[in-house]
Amino acid sequence: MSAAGGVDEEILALSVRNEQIRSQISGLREFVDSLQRLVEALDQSREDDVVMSALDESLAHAVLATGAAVAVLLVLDEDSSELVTVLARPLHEDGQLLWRRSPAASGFAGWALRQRQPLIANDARSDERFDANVDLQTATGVHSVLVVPVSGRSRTLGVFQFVNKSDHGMFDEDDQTLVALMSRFAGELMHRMSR
Amino acid sequence: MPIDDDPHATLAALRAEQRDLLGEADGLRRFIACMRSLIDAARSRQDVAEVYKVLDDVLDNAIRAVNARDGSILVPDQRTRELVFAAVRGDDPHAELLGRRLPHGEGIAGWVAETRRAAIVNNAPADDRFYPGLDRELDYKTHSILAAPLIGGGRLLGVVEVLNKRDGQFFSVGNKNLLSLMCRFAGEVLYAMVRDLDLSRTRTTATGSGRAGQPAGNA
Repeated sequence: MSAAGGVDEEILALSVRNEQIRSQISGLREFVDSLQRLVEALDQSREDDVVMSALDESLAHAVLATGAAVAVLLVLDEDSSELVTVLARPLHEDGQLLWRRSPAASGFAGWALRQRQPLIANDARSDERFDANVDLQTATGVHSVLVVPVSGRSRTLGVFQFVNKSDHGMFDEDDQTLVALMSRFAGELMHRMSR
Repeated sequence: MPIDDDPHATLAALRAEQRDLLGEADGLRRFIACMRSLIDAARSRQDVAEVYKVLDDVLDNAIRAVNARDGSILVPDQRTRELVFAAVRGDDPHAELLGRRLPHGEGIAGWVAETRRAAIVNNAPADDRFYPGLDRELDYKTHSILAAPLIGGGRLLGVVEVLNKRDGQFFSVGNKNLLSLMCRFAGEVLYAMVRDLDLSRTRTTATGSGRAGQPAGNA
């Protein structure tokens, strides 16, 4: 192999590797930027619908950053003891995920609400907390779930639920940390909206 | 990236690009690690030692997340409205800064405290807000500064300042967003931990690297 051929091969390999790194970090970088826009909207006391829109954008970026197939924000309706889907990404054309109601005590979301703790279940169907009647499912079924409670001023107001890490992968603590960060600010917004 | 007439120059550029990308990836990992430790700290016992540990961890992670050389956290004295150095870390942390006071409104940190907005200053000596007195006194050269407010419970709890981005680079808006988010979250955690403690009066003789009573060195 000539020296020139060796350099060309190294250039190609580096180009490919750089593109891989770029793609790995771009999702996370965009999530951080969207979260900062959400915080700025919160801190500048923007209208609730403006802040909600920023939260929706953060959720979209969180889906990309974590590699989830779908994610929802479920808000607790204390009067009916139900969880209501108020945000969903990706949003299906018929909006079927939105405003769906499920019993607040059931499934992974119910567990996270009661325990006020996050959970990761990477073998969801085998988990005793799984409830096929309420747990969010996709067209390909459910294999992995990440749920993080949303709290405002010490009250648990709802949960974020992320389903099916891509390529049948597993949600991990980094994913949980990102969603927990988003849930912190979602809690502020929801507390504000509930007053 | 197109291969130009000089493949060796292209190779050098790609290697430099990879260094930058890996640096950014490392910064994002540091950010996640910082967030995780803050979440854990939020569940911990509330005492002064734990508060300072949180401050030190936030500063360590902030410096590394944005690839800076040094940094400090200043906290407000509610009575005099001065800013007091409460934590210093980095390659050249100047432990003698601990307990030092900045007059109200002075310096980039003072501007951040007044406006409660983050600041990117990539040519510090040319910025009107820059306070050169400490550089002169400590024989230090500040080239670039990135600073963000620590806010919790609606109160200004401090200012995180990181200095001198490595490799002659500039602090970016992405760096600012990372630091701002870290500070915002840290502020809420700190506020929940210790609501009424006046940190400006309690830390002048802490121990450990980058603290008073120890030689300055790498953090």
